[in-house]
Amino acid sequence: MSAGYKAVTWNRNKLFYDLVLVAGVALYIAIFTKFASDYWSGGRMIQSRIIEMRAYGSCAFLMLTLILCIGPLARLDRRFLPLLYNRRHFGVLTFLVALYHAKQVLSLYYNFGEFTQLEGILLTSTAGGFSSLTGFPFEVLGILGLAILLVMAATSHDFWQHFLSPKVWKSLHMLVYVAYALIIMHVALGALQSEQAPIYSILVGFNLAVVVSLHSITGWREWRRDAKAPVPASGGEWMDAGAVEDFQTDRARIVPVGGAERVAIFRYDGKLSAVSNVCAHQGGPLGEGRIVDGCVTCPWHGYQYEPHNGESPPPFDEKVPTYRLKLESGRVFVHTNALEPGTHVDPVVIG
Amino acid sequence: MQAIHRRRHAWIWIAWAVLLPLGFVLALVLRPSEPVDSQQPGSAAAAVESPAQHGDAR
Repeated sequence: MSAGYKAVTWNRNKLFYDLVLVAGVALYIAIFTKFASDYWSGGRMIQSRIIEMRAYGSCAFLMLTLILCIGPLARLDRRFLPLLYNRRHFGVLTFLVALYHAKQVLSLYYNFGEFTQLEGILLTSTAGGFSSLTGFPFEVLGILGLAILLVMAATSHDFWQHFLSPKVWKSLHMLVYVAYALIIMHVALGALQSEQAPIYSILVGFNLAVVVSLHSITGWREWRRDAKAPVPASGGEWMDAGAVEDFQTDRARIVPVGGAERVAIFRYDGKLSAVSNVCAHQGGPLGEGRIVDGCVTCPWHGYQYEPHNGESPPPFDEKVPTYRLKLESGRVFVHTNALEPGTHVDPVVIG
Repeated sequence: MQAIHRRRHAWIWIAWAVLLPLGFVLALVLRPSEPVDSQQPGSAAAAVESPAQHGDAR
């Protein structure tokens, strides 16, 4: 196996995306610090360093919530797709903000004595055991969550995706849900044990509810779509994909075939071609993209494929499976058997 | 394969979407009525000599 490293290709969209992210983080920290100082100064005094630590911690939590919302939002409404385009930079910045939060915790609470900071946090937090809720070492949950974010940030470049294979890479990055669970419990067993005013629990619970609800809604929609798909006979069969006039030019119709496999059938230049609905890059829904410069273009990151053979145009080498089509009495039929990725199939010409 | 992956993921989603909110609510419901300063390291580990307990963090 070999994979060459190519530096991140910057463009105007990415720079704008990153500038907005950094400005958003700076604004949040400034607002949190200002208002938290005013809010908490009335009662017990809280050091400015603790306020700063909480500002970065809550910022990282909020960022992770937003990251997890982008995927389902983009499925529900195409207007959110631009947010998905550079989501990996969002993730890397989230890790950096969380890392700064961890650094502040270590320097604030574990900067003394014979132990190193890491030894200090592990020894003192776990000394009470894991049996008591109030004494639960929530710090360990935060460390584990941060470790997952570190692995994800370190492997976020496409080099690692080629090196590990898209399947392994995707599985690795699905750990973000484990990280989110760890961080939710880190907050619930940590900060929310000491800050018992309902507003804090409501805010954290609202974030969690939004993430879970959005994923449940999109998951339910996908499940319903799969459930409607008929199961084809073994060996494959021709399946009715709809009337030809139902296919919009330069767009696709997504058809579940083969017991819920999905095919994206594109209409372009008076022709029809069918490819797998799954992008070879990160599994994006090709059928939700469109034809750009004669190529099927993934809505997530703009990966392109020739519609008639599923191959990316040179110099790229990604390939997706193709499917055979036929036209009968104004209706489009797709064969349920996928062909090898990159297999040429003559497009169906619309009369 | 797409379908197999989605079905496998579905069970993970269901577990995640049910267990996580449940854990969150339990952590809040079972917390003591008196606030616990869990931000203070070693608060649950008095037996351990924690240098941070002795000094002003500043």
